[in-house]
Amino acid sequence: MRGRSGLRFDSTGDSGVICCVHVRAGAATPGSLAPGAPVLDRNRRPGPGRGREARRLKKRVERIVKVVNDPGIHLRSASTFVKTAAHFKADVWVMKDGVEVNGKSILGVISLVAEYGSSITIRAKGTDEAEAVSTLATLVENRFYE
Amino acid sequence: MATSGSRVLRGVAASPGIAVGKVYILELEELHIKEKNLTPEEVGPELTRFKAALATTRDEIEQVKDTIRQELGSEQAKVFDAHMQILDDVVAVEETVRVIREERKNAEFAYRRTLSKIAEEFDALEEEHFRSTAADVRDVKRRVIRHLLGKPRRSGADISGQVVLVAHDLTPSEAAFLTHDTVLGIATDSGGRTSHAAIMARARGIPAVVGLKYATLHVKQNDTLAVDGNRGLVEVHPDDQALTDYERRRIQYRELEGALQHIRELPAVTPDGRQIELSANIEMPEEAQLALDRGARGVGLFRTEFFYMKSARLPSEEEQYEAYRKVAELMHPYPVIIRTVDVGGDKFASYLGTERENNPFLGWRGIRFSLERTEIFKIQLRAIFRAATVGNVKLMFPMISSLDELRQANEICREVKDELRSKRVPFGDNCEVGIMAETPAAVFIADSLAREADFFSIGTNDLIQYTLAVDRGNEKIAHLYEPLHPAILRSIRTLVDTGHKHDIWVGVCGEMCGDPAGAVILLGLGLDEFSTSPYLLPEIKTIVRSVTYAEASELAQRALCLSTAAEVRRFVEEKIASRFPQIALP
Repeated sequence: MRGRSGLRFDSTGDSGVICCVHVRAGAATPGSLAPGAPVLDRNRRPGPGRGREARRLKKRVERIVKVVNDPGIHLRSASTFVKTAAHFKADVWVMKDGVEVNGKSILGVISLVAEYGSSITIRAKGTDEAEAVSTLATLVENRFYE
Repeated sequence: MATSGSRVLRGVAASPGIAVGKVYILELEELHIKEKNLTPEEVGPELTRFKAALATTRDEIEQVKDTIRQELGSEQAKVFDAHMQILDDVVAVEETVRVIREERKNAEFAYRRTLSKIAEEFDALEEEHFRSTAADVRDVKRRVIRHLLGKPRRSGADISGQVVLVAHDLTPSEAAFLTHDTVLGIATDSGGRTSHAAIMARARGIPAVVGLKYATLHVKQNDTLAVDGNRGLVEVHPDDQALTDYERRRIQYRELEGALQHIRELPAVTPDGRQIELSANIEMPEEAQLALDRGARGVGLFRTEFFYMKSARLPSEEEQYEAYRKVAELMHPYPVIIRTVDVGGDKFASYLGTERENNPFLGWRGIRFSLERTEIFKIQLRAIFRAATVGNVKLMFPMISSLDELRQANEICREVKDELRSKRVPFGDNCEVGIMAETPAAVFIADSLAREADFFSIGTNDLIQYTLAVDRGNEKIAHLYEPLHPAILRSIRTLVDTGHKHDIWVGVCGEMCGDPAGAVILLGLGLDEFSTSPYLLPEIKTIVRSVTYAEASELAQRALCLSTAAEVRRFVEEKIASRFPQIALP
């Protein structure tokens, strides 16, 4: 792995509220940040399990897209992404390599290091979730219209 | 020349021109923050204060954005959209609010801790395009904290008179406020030719050197600092002689700029009729026009690392072909010498499999990389040969240290041409193929290489580094990096004489030919071509046009008989000062 340590964002998934979780220390206590703990904590998204959680995960609106702009989703393109995401009421998440971040946080999106050629999953939940996902996916596929 | 008390630092030439002035260190005004514990009653008002500071900062960024948009266009203004989003970033804001509310800390402490940690996490990234976000985060952080501390005046607002600005780095916001009226020159520790500071400095005509690494450590407020934006050097505490020289060179540069229209049309020929091919080193295709505008008669070194380093993927054949073709068409009928990729050394990319090595300059780089990754090499060669149909394109291999390498590379060229021929793709069959002569080994086997290469282009930077075993980036020994060392002069003479004996031309594409004393010696040693930074072309051409070849040869012959670098330097500088007082020595 290249230079990924330290940058860890967390999405709690359900509520859509990003909060900081002290993952490294083991017991994840949302809302408590030990001195020296990373602020941009990120969490592994739970895989589909059984029961209600699995059914909920199956219903979610998401799309996998390939990053086709150079050099990837860095400051400028992340800025466009977040600006577009902000137009929707739905909560938006972006996932890469099993790490998911709030799609309305520019710092979260950049921290994914979604380089040219990588694949990301865009997911949304809320009244306009379908439109949000398709608009954002189209944006990525069209190189952010840069 | 640096004297005792003075110190020369080397960086990246980011914006041309010469400036001398008193140092103003931008980051001296550190924002001092005290950690305070709040009583429960104070938490509410503290949150209100924090939100108010965010709102004020929002207005401020909006204003900067408008200014930049009007002056430099909306593309440059986009970065401030991103700053606005960092300001309003849900993670940053919510974590700060949490620290205020739950840990009951004051807003400036909470915000600084949060944003500093975020910035540090970006610092740890390896991919530069993503890592650079750290600087943007810190920029926003400083704005907000200034407002929280009730210091709305930004650092630098108290500059009186004209100064040379020294900073670790210039944030987009800081760079946006630099004006010609107050800032004579800029020197920064970090950054490259495409960083905000460099773009802004060029747009506003302020000389700048970036990437100096330790400039802020070596200067104090009000020190005298000279910035040479043409050569990428700064000098701290220049002595009286040096100050006079800088002033002469500053005036000379401005005169040359003023007379550029005239100068660029003049031939680079000595008074006694020896013609020098004067061409430019470029890194990006866009620089070809700049080179032409400044009188280049060709591109003597087209570095191609840019294509490989700008993103984490291989540049396609079409992409490279288009870029080479454009430069070749623009330069036609003048030559364009494309150097095949020289990754490795200080340029590594994990996607290419090149890594930080213990001894990178003696490692897997240049032609060594290309001969092992032939699939990558062939794509580049195809693009170059195809571009050779529309212009005068030549190619050269970097870091050749044995005849085997040249033979293998030439063999791959033949294979590529055969493939193109069999697929009926048009290509330039007569493209000259030469080598960068930059290793001591290449000097010793110059005769064998000359039989199988079409030209030598001497890369003096690496030749000096390898011959003298000096890493000029190492401050403790940087003074040992001496282009006029007898070993270097003798190596160059060997390369020139051997090349000429085998009827091939010999040029120089290192920094040595951009130095006045170096240029005179190289002229005297019989070089056929000089290739240097576009900004130095008018100055070097004026030197070529004022020194006779006969005198330069005599000077070079006598310099070759001297035994130490100091003797050579003294001899050459005295000679130049007495014989060619019009040449301003750096």
